[in-house]
Amino acid sequence: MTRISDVITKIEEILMIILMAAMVIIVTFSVAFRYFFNSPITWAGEVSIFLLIWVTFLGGSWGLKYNSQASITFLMDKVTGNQKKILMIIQLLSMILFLGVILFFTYKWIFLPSVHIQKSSSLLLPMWIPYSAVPIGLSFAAIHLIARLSPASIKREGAE
Amino acid sequence: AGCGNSKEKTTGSSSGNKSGEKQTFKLAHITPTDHMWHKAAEKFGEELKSRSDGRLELEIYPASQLGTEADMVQQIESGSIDFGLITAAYLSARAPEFAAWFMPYGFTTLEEANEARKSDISKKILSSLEEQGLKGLDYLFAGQRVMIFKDKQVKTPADMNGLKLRVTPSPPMQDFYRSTGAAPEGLPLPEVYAAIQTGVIDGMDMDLDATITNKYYEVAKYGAVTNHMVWPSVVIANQSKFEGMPEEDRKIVTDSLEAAIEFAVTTRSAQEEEFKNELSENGMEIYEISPKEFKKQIDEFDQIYSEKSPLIKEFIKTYRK
Amino acid sequence: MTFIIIGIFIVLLLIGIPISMVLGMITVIYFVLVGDSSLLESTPMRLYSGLENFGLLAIPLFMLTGEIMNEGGITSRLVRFSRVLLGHIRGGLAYVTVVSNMFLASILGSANAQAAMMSKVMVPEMEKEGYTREFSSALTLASSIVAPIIPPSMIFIIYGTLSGTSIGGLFMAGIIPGILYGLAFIALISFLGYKMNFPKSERASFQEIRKNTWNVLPAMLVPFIIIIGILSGIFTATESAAVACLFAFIVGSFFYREFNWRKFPKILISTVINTATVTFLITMANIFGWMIAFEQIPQILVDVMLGISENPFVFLLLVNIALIVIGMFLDGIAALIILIPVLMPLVTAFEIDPIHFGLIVCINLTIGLLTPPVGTGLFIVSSIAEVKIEKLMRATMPFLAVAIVILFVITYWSDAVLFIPKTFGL
Ligand code: NA
Ligand code: NA
Repeated sequence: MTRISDVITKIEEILMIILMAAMVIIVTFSVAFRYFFNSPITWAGEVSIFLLIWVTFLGGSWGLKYNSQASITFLMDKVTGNQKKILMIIQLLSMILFLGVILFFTYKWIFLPSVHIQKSSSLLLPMWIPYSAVPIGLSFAAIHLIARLSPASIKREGAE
Repeated sequence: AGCGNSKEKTTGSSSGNKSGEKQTFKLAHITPTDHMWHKAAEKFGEELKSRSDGRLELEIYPASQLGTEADMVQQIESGSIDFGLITAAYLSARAPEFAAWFMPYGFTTLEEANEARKSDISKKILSSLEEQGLKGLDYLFAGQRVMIFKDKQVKTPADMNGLKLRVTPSPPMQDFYRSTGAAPEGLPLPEVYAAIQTGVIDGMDMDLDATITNKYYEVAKYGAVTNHMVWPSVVIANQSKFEGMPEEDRKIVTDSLEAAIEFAVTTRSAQEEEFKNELSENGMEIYEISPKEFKKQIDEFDQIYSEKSPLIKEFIKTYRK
Repeated sequence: MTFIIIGIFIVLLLIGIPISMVLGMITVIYFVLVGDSSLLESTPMRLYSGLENFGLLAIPLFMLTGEIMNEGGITSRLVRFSRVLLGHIRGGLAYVTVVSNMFLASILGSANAQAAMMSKVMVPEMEKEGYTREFSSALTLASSIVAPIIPPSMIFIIYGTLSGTSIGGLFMAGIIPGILYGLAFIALISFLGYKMNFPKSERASFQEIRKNTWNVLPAMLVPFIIIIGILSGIFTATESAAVACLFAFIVGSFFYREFNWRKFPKILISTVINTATVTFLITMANIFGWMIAFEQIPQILVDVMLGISENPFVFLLLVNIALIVIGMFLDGIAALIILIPVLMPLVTAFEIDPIHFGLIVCINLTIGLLTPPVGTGLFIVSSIAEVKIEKLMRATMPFLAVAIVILFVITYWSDAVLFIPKTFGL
């Protein structure tokens, strides 16, 4: 699991670079096109929002792997040793449970026929493409969290 | 305040209600509470209550409280809300036939459009939603579309050439504007005021209602009351849930809806002159452009969209005079 | 039921689960408890569509601008510039901290990012000149709150998108309050300076001043572009972020020649990660807000508040007090996301200008970064500058008091906030 999680992290990082660069280029060009060529790129807004959503779920998943999201560390800073490990296991299990429930409904949703007929308003791109950010990002996140449950990982994080 | 009051509420999810049972429906829409659609929703609620002797009630979630239109439709599909007022502009991304309603200069007045909603062809368009498990109950209109310009009095489509105009990002609307030579942009609504003030855009496609409530008259000098397109929303419900309702309740719902829609059209039509005057008084030059000027654009639209679907073709044939 | 939910919420937060996940979890728990699976079926769509907002795009773009400017050597130039201008006055380096924070604020949009950066740079410098470490870090921490007040600003972007208020208008409204904060801290330093006999450094030569001014000019182009661009209508607030990125890049690689292309992928990754800590929180808070809307809590609250008083002055006082308390316990952005859908109907009911209200709420919640027990700014500075939280808290108190006084000035002096946006019609 740890290996899978690491491979996924690599994929996430490559996607982050590509998508983020694309976002900057698209928004900058859309300003330029409107001003210098007087012909707005009508799909620019739509596509850059899709990129933002993808980036959010990939980055969110990455943040769960490295535990870098904002949290209240009060209690975690107070406890040590086994108590800390138990607390970490509780945290991870409850997040995995939560993601499990969400993922069940997310996959149910993404495969709905009514999702497959939806198209974006200006590019007429099938909406399942941007929508997939949710199931893929959250699946990645769940894998990272499961990997963090491994004894080696618990030991390493507990020592920090 | 607490989250505990939903136990008593009979949410729509409890299916198979028999007639005689109390029920509270949930209705969601995107407009603020001073908009005609919200008032129509309130009227719908009152009618439901009185026609059912207090048995059927309505809770309204205005102003996109429950999410975007895509969300609302999804929530109707899943059954967590019962009714939605969904713009035809959004629905045309899911059921392309709804684009028919955006035929430019199809209807001269709101009343005409309101009559058109009762026709067979309009009902056929509604039933195109059924393959998605949605029941299109009826249409509800808001004020027709007008054109607002910052500092150029547009008298013919030729004057629109090269203008940057804010237009709802819906293909038929944007296609119409593109055919005049304008550059349509789908700027988010909250940015529109600043964008026209500073010149990011030269004008917009709007209705008189929003021109007043968002004070666009402060930043735009010309208002061309073209009334070139109608702006329908579609009242939708979950098909299997609606059809599972007892006959009697279904009738109460459709009758109440009919009353609310008529109420909205009558009220809004009566306001047309009042709105124009209010804008004039606030320094906006209100004028009209003859539909004849747009002959070329109308023909182009009719041709392109007639090819898109036989339903659209039939719709255009029926209403183009 | 309400109490069970609140209880679970607190427990989940306390055991250290990320706030974003807690917001999502509590929503799912609630839906399971009420036994309505149709709500669970709609949840994934809500997770997606809460981010479907053009305004939010400005977040990664401004974050990227900050990253590029940093790599391009901007922070050090801003500090050096303020230093040759003000270093020779009594308490000079303290003023330098405030002023360079204000400069940096016109490029960065997050108080936490700015507190982290400035405590690395300023605290050691000030200590070297004889200021106590507690005072130096408290000053750095307090000054960082101007970061989101002076445009650009993450929290204004989020407020703008949640409430449907013009982001450009909010940015412009932040200028005067931002300067007010700077002046208030400067006044406080000069008062403390006499009492505590602050040190001063040598006066810079004219040549040095000229050289540093020249050096800092390209950097100051970035905020200039943002403000002029928005005011003149060349671009929207979101687009200004993309243009600022481009300029930061040009300044960093052609003027300062410090920007290294090979670092670019790394910068992009760290931008995404920093963005996602905010936007992932937004998406989770969004389903939480949806649950609150479903229970019609905003409407209930409107009735309660209107029952207490119909006076907008009283309402704003109550809002401020409530937010200061909430800000003690909750991260500013999380609090904003939860509260805005609840508060906006009240703003309409009390006929308050939504831009003015945005400034009040955002500044209030930013001050919350300084307040214990949960103050991210406090934690960041305490760990980077290596000062005990308790000592840092004590040293921050005078600044906190001044910050709250200014907050109330801004609350009741709406002209100070609305002058610039009104003048330019934003
Ligand atoms: Na800033
Ligand atoms: Na706090």
